[in-house]
Amino acid sequence: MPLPCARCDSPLPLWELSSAGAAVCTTCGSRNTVRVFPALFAAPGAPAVPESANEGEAACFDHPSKRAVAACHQCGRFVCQLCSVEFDGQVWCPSCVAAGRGRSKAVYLDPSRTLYDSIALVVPLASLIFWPLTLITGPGTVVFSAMTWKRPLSLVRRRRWRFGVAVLIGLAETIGWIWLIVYWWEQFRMGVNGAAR
Amino acid sequence: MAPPAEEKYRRLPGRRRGLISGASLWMGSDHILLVKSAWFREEYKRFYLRDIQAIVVAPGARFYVSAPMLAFAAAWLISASFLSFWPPSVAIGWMAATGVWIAAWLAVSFAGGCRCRLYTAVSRDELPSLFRTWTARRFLRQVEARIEQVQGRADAAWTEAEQSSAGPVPAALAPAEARPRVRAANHTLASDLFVLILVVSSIVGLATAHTPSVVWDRVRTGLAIVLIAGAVVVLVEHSRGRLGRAMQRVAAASMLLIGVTFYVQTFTFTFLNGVHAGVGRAMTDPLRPFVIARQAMYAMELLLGFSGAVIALRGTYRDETDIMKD
Repeated sequence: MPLPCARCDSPLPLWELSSAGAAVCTTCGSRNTVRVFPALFAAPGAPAVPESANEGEAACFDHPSKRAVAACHQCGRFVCQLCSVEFDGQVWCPSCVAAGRGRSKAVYLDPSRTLYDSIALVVPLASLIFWPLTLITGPGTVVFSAMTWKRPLSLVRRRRWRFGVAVLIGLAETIGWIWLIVYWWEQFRMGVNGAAR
Repeated sequence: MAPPAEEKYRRLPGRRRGLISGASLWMGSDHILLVKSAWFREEYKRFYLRDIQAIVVAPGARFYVSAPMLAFAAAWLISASFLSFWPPSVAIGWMAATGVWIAAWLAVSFAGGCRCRLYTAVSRDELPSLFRTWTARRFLRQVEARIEQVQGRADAAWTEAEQSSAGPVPAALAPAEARPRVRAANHTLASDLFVLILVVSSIVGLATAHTPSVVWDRVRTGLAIVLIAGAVVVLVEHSRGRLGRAMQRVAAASMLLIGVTFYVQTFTFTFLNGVHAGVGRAMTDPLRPFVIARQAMYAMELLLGFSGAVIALRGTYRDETDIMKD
């Protein structure tokens, strides 16, 4: 069973693989370190073929002519071999999986996630490069952090400190702007009063 | 029903941190999680321990500049702007340290680089966070034990058994001939010209950086423009799949070098002018820091040129016939 070289994709020769976990590729000459596991020799599983239901036997909800092999753990519908979906150690029917009833269980099986905490942290910091933007991004960050606080974070990052820091920066920028606007307003009023006298 | 707690992951050796993208590997209860991130999004791929058929690591040059390394290089280059305030011995030491640093990076990239792949019955994935041999070894040590806990140990004499039996070959592990794929060349005519311009530009720059002649200044500027154009052509050829990744990285590095030097020079000039205006005296030798910065840039350009030449000489030439064939 040939294994491909990690560098050039050419199959590594078997006589090389027999030498203690290392194999020199005959095409590119690189010395591959190879670790092989028993799954390599496992025969591919046979495709699920549902059996026909005999008279009086329980039948699949979606395929009435096929014999039921289990009941959906969520809705209780009978499912045949083809329809049974093994999910988190239980059998589910395709409708329940499609309807997202397993969403709470499948949350850690997400294929991707948006990092809202990183967005909340980077936006107010990046806007400091062109500081007038902080008039929008300061309060915007506070609102955005509040709205996305409960959204799931990265699968491998647990802490929400980025949100905390983002809120602090956003608040600082907002307070800075309030102070500046009050200061300008006072200056403006003094100017108007001075002109009136 | 209360939702179950999320899977707890433990970090595995190897991490790739670019400016906008990154990759890392994590160990879950029954699977290895590959995390690829770009901008503000993470993508996950799970390799279940029971499904992993093989892990193969091949050594090979990997020129990778991480974000922390890039930040350090930028700080290092900015420090060059203050060379004019330092004694000559410190300036020479700075240049020597730069040379040693670049040489060490090249040596590590050439000798310590590797490519790691993980095979299952239906996939063959590269693990981008493993690009140094020592990290790959640590990863293998940790993961091998866990996989063997789940699957058991493979028979040591499996190759003999394979040679004697003619069992079915899984699709993912079929020989490469069975699945023809187009391989990008290491160099093309355009990339050869680009490398040539890189070397010529650096030699001309090193030889004339200290001369205040306007003619040489224009020659250097002209060569820089041609160099940028060449780098763009190389990047385009790479994006069209005609050229390998190594030459693309040389082109990107040279563009980055020119860009960073330009901005550092501009920043330094403005900064020094401001400092001297504040002190109230004119700059004694205004060109000196720029000459040193330029010489450092041309030295790095020369190293990039040599790297490009090595890449070109190692690979096969892709001529027009190949392009037509593909």
